[in-house]
Amino acid sequence: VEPIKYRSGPLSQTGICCDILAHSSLCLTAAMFPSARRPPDAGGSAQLPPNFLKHADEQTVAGLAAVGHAIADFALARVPFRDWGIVAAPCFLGRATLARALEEFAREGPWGLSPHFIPHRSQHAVSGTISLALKIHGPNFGTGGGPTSVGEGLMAAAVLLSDHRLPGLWLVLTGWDPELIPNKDGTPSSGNACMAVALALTGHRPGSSKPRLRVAAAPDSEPAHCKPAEPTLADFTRVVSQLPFSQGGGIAVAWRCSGGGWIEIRSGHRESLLPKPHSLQRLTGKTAAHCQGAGTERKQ
Amino acid sequence: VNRGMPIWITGVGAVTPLGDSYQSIAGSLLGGRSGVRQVSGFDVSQHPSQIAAQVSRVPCPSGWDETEFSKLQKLEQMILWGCVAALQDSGWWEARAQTRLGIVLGLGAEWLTVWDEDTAGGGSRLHTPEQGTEPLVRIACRKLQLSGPSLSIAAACASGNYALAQARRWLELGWVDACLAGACDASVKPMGLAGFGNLRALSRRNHEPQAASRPFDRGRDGFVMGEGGVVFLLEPAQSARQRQAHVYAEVAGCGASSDAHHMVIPSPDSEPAIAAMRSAFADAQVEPDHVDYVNAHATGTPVGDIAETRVLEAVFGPHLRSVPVSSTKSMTGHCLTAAAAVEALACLVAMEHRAIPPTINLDDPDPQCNLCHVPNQARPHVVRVAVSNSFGFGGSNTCLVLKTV
Repeated sequence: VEPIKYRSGPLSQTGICCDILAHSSLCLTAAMFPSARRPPDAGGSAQLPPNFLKHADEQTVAGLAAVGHAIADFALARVPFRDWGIVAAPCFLGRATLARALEEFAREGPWGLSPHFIPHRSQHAVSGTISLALKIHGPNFGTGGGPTSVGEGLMAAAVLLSDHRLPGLWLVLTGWDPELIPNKDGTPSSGNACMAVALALTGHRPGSSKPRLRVAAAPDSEPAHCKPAEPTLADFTRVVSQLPFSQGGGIAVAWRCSGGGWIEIRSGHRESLLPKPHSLQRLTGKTAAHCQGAGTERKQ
Repeated sequence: VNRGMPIWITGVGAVTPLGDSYQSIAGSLLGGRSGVRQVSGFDVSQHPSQIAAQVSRVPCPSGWDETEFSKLQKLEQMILWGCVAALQDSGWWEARAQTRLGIVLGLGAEWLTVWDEDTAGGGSRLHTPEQGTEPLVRIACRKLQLSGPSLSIAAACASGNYALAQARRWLELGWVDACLAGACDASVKPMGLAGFGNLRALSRRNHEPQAASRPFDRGRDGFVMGEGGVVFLLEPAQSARQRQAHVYAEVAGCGASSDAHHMVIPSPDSEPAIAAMRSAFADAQVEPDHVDYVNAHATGTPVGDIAETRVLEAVFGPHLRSVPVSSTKSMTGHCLTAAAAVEALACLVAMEHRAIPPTINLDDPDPQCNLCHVPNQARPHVVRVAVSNSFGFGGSNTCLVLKTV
């Protein structure tokens, strides 16, 4: 379902509004993970140990890479993330690893299960790992988990920012495209790509010309422009990869939320942003590619 | 946004190792009864830990088809039972479809649990991505005819407190008129027991299950897995007053932080957990000397209980000597994702019954956990302000403040 683009009107003044300080989107194929598991320089914090991502799920690896790109591309390396929060919404996390773990359990019994399985395949694993990488001491939690992850992630993040206790918040959305059919050894097949979107959000500052996220979950506040569907990760990735998509700002893309309400991304002024993301190869090698135009994810 | 609007708990639905109603759980908590047994339902002979506090059976809500309900996975049963009971208890059941009613549930590993149980039953959902993709909170919305937003939250053992905080905020924002919030966990399965066992987090006191969960005791050797689900109905005070609803407590404050230290090991730095508690106190506008009871996270691990003691010492200072602290995990086991919600319920029990649920098996208090313990027997005590700590894997620290109304 294509999101609808429209010139936003007065209805968009309702709901929770956040400025998008930085953003990044990427896809990693199976071949890219060995290099992607080398931890990125995630900003001004101490260097991460080489094995930091050794046991992490592929979605965690992709999510952290997307955060690293956003930091690099929008020159946030000196921003102290200590008091920020992080919300991550992985989709069907750990499917492949569970398949392998069940095989090992059947073969070897309880001792065959890795002690890393639960910490790194539970729904909080992505947010927890990124909080370690960035030395974030604010809230961290996972949300979603299934096909509604994007909408749930956006809603949870906006709500967390809305009470003005946090200076900023990372929102990380991840998932496979197409969804994995696990091999017995738990590795993704060559046809799958792991997508990740990272948004650095702050409370909206009046007069800011940055792109904006607006979320309103009240059923009676939905604008007529909304398509009756929640965003898929592919939809959302496409929109984020095009930010800012107008010189003058004021163009919005809106999706419907669960239970009514809506999610809107509104473009900002191009001049408010540094150059578009460019540094993917620094982190993931020549084979990495932005997800611009990605859209093969199965629609739910 | 109505930031100062009090949000009250007016309904409770629960299924835990200690019972499947508020009253039965209250009786067990105040009676100091343990829900820990030898694990049943699967072979544990090869597991290092062979004990847990299990929910043997989730009751079918009245009016539902028992045969159909029995076919559902245990986690879904817990959610539905908890939601229905909370709606009925609060008086919202009949009006639920005509109300903007949302749901926020702590579900720590929803899909792993669902796929694991499905595979064990001969299903193929793990290997068939297009099969069975509806999230449990959406299933609950559909089956209960709820029309508001839905959300699942995962912060390991802190999930329930995050869920309550999120629901409270939805109500303040006017997104919903009432909201179900809580957490459920059904992880006592071969993979769960093996996973935590191999982390060396579990007690191996297999020969005496009911004595195995012993927070703050010198003889503690790890936590005991538990399972269950607790769901609360939250609504604005004004709405509850208009309906003349029974009120359990006000959700007065929530605080959260992250250790940024390790995915599993508690941080040697107490500051993040201290910050979470202070943030919750500030949110609730209470001072440490206002607190009448602390339901500690205390799981019974050698390191974690001491770390929490350091946090409480820093937050309460000299007042700590007079604030009763107990860990109800000694009775319920560690209900993991559901733990924070189960322990919020324990706080409601303390408030309503004017008695502190004890830490059972506290026979030889660890001198490094020098607190105002409530060992083995409930203690009469008026509780107007209760605090519940819940920390979790991923470095999560949360604190919930509940006040009597």
